[in-house]
Amino acid sequence: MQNSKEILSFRNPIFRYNADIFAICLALSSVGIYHWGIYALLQLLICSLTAVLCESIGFKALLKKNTAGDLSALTTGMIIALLLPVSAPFYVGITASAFAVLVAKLPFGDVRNTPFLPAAAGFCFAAMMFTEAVFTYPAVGSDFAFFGSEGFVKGKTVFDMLSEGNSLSLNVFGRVSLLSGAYPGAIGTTSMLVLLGGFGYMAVRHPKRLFASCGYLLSAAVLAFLFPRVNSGRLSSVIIELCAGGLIFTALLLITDPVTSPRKPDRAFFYGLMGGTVCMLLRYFSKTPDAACFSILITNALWPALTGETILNKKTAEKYKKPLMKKKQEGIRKAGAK
Amino acid sequence: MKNKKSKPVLSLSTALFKGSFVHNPVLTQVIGICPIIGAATTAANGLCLAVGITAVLAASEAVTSLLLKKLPRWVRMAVYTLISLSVVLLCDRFIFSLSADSGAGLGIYFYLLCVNALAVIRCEKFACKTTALNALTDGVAAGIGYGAVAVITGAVRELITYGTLFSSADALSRFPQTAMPFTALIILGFLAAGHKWLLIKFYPDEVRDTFSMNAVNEKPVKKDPGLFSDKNKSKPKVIRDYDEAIRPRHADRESGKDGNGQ
Amino acid sequence: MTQFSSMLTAALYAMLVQNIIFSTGYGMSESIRMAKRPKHFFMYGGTVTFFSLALSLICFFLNRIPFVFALETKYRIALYTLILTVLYLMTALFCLTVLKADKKFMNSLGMCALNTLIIALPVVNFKAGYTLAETVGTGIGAGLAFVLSVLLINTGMKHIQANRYIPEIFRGTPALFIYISLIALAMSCISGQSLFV
Repeated sequence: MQNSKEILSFRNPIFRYNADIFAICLALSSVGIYHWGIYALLQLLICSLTAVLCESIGFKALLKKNTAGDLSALTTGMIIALLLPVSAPFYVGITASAFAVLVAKLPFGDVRNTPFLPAAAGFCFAAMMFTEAVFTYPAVGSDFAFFGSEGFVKGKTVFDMLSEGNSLSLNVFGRVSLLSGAYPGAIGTTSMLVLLGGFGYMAVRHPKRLFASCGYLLSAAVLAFLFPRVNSGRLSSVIIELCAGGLIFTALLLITDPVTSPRKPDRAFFYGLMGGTVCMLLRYFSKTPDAACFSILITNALWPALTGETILNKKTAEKYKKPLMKKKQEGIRKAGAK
Repeated sequence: MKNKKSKPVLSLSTALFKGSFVHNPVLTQVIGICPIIGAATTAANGLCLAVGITAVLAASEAVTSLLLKKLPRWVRMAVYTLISLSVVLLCDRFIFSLSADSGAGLGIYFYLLCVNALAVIRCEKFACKTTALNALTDGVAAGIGYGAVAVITGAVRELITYGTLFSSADALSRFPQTAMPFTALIILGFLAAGHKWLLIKFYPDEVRDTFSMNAVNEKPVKKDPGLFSDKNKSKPKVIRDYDEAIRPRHADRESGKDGNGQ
Repeated sequence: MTQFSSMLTAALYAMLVQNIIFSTGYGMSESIRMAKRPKHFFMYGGTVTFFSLALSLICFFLNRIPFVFALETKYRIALYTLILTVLYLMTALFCLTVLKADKKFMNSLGMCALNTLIIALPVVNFKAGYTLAETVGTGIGAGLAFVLSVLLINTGMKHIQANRYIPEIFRGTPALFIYISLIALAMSCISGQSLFV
């Protein structure tokens, strides 16, 4: 078992990967704070703190080790905060982060063995319990009341326009705001420029992980092209569908998770394809406003069931198999001796 | 408890301790969780389920022990359903009066207790191999174990949804989503963890893997050998110990004992 | 063609759009018990589909009788239960005498037939006012939903069984409950709220 020094070291692949995710989250957070102000920073701090505290206390109590040093809890909290609107009350972020760590991660023991992505599970739980607060996005520049989601001007998101069948050019914000992120949306999912930069960073640091993203974006784009929901052409449909909600954010930070997605690039690509298809189907048929995170949870459940691929890391599976094999061999020997 | 060849009398305290706490049907064996997931949305509804399942279990186990021992198992299973159905129909008025919302929240789940797997398993495992008094005691104990989980799950959901306890009728629902199955399953998961912690802490000798997942890696066979064959010859087991009766069969296999607990 | 499409829609609805097992809990304990031993997965899945379809159809035609149509819920469930019991006994007799089924199969036949999913389905159909094609669709869809849930839960069990790092107090049923709850959470997004009774 790893000690705390080994956990908090660049030799630890989990720490290395999470440090990169943390860097991307920081870039997205800075844009969010620039657009939404101090409340975005508070939301980010509160979510990250809750996740780290829950991880420290929970894992120390049950597993007698503190795994918060591997940065996984910190990134989980940050991803949840980036997916929430700035107007969401703080208890929404606290509930989501606590759920992600205490329910989706702790019962399965280790960050390397979680069957469902904790951040996605936490966000989905908050989305189910506080639907109104999670899916109501304020207009840019509106004032907020401290500790509450009321008293602000509600903005129209790209997703709203999609459901009404409009195109971008007909509406309030154009392609420049889409790149900079100055339009109603979650704290960290709006700025396409930073998200594309994140893809570039990932391509340098973890190129194999991007196969899942490619599959995810490809399937979503193909479905958007084939079944457009806007009246301004198929290409426009692809752009708007990809930019709506947290789809690109999900493709960059959630579907690439090395624990829940397959390790081999070809399989990761198909995993991404499945995730993107599920996401688009949910968008077409479900009532949930943004289904990107739900698509991750559903793919986490369906992929191992349909392919028979184990979610566990190789070491754990081998360690488990060895004693069983020994027992079997002993049994055969005994039977032979008799 | 010592092994005796004569039929022993099961004390209520043993039954309550082992049948309802140590081998809790919901938390350790995952039997009959449908009504808890669907209907235990308030503490009062949980109480209704508790009383209902206790009545069903007591009646079906007692009748099984008295009259049904000689019937083949596949016929007995149909009879259990009929007994449970009559109990549910007879006492529904009384049970619904316990609930503040006149059983409206229970929906059809209460009547679905007539096909609850718990009654079938308890009758098959215990009641048809023992005396009527023992069967009755076991039924009441298992009902209490099941009911306690139902009431706790209902109470937690009611606290989250309405912020009340046993008085949800006039309260305003803050989180209607708590009625969805996933919340009940999360509560059950943490209850099961708490139950296991209690066992490990205070009764370490009683901690057993009662829900074995050793066979989950078996590959499905396309042609079932159970059909089109005539190998239906196996002797019924003789029950000697309460603990042995409610323990799952795999536990004996794992501990190296044979099927009769010798 | 319209009838076929409405049947397909109803089947897909009960299986995927709102998986009847994860959204209501009907037949949950049976699917968990079957997921524990997936050896006879195909046979059990087929048996559950047969019973759900047969009972749905019988009850659909019974509901056309005005007396049955006007029954209270509790008497309706009682009637459906009686019909299911008779159907189960007839099927069991057929399996025993004609197909020469062994004891093990006969024991599991009861579990496949007499469970909450099969009884609840005709009630759901009646409350939703489904047509014949939709009734057939939900009958098949419920069976497929059962198969899907067994598959998903079995995967979870494999994961939990192979995972040595699960904390001692969560090992076994607690982790399984949490795993199933996360699947139910994922499935619940599709319609937002539970639509079945």
